[in-house]
Amino acid sequence: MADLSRRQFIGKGSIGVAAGVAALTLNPQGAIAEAATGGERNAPVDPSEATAGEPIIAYVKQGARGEVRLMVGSREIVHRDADLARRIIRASKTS
Amino acid sequence: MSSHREAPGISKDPVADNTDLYAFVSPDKPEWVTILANFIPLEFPAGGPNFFEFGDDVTYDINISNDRSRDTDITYRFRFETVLRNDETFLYNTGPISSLNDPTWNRRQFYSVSRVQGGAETVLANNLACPPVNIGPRSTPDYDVLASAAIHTLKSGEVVFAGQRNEGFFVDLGSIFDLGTLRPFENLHLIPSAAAVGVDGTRGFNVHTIALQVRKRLLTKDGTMPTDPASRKAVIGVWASASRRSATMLEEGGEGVETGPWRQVSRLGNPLFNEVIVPMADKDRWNHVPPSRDTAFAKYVAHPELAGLLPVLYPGVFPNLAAYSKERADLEAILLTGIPSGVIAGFQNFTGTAPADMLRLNIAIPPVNSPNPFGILGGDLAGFPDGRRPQDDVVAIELRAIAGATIPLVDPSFTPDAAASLLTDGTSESDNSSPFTSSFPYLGSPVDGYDSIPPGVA
Repeated sequence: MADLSRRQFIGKGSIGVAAGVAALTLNPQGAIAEAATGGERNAPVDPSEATAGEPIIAYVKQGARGEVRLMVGSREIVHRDADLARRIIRASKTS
Repeated sequence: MSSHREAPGISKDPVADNTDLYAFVSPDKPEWVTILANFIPLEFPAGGPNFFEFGDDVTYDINISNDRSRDTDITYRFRFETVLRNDETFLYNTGPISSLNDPTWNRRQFYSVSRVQGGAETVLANNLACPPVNIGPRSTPDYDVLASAAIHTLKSGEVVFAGQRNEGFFVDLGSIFDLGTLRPFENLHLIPSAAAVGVDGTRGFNVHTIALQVRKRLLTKDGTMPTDPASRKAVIGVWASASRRSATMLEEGGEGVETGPWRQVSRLGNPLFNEVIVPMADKDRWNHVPPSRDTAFAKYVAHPELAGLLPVLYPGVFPNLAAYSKERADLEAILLTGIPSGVIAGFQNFTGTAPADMLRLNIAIPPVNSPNPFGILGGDLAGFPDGRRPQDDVVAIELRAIAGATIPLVDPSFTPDAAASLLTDGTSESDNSSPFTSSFPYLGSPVDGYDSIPPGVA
């Protein structure tokens, strides 16, 4: 008879993802900017911002521009790092 | 429908789908404003064992603009969490539910409420209990007691409720989406048949309601309680929205991650705006942007498609409307800017010239004892489009407005067609399964699953 909420469930499932993405070390020289997107002003603010153990999803939409978008907590960070983008794209082509 | 399944994208995501929005000065507490934001369209009451509930992965917002602009100044935010009490049963409940803490109730929801203002979010309350859904006489034998127990007064003064209620929006869905038929007038339709009485297509269904009751002074820019309807401080714009995380990753076995910024996936201001004003190709985009970006959609109000269809669908009935080619400044005022002073005696709900789809409520207009369901068109300044009350017949009001009944407000040279002031789909408040209540949360008790009748069953 254990209490189990969906958020707790998702939290348990996220541990593996955090570890996997941690291998993608960010270039400290890479340009980082908060994404400026429509509706941002009204976007809900999560009181519990990203912590060290929180999962990160990296999104490469336009690799040629060296842009990697990082979803973490309630933020989207636009990270400009051509080398990182290239390495992610290269990794995606390995079998 | 008002905004039920009104866009291709959100029709596939019911828990985030705004269906109706109401904002009115509380009839039993005239110093308070009530805002009701409904979600989850067409809940069939018997839909167990996984009954309807809010989304734990959705953020629900009620947004208020109070500075005569289209920007949001105050947001009330609701987040939900579902808790299973017993992970060894498939049942929603294992016995009659007699209280919100009843151990027989297996799947419960709780929520937090916060207020966002000036960029800061303040949590007003946590772990507020929702009521169960209304299952039937064995499971929820005294449903109104459970619903009343789920009305919470916050330390900050607001009153809130979040849970299932009866669908209060009445509309003849079956006829309207059959090539614009209005049963009382279908003898005049391009493809005619005998006139008939309207059929409320949402009768017997439920919705999930987030209800908020706030003292007026908590909603105004300067914390005052306006009493002069002509005051610019007296008008608030209201819209509701639902947001999801921008990134979702599903892993094998059903586990996954949701992260990133919250992105709006649904919104609602005026009833039927996205439904019948915005073309299908633009409906999803409309749902994803706030009213502050509605300039892009203003052209659909200036020349509404439905105004062009009415003379075609009802040949010879709307000759004056058919000949009218000017921009519809009347609809722009009603839906996008509010009605300025000087148009209707004793009334204004103007929020500036920048177009934005919001319900606009003049909180200095007192409630009336006998609301006219046709609102301002019926001479009742406390009804739609001054905010919206549950009993307002917004289908008839908007049909009449689009048909030209409100053009003379801005263009006295226009004479509306005789039919414009008669249009109705033939449904009314009396078609609802449960009557509205005289106090918060005003929407009627949900239909219970045991007693619900599937469509088509006599």
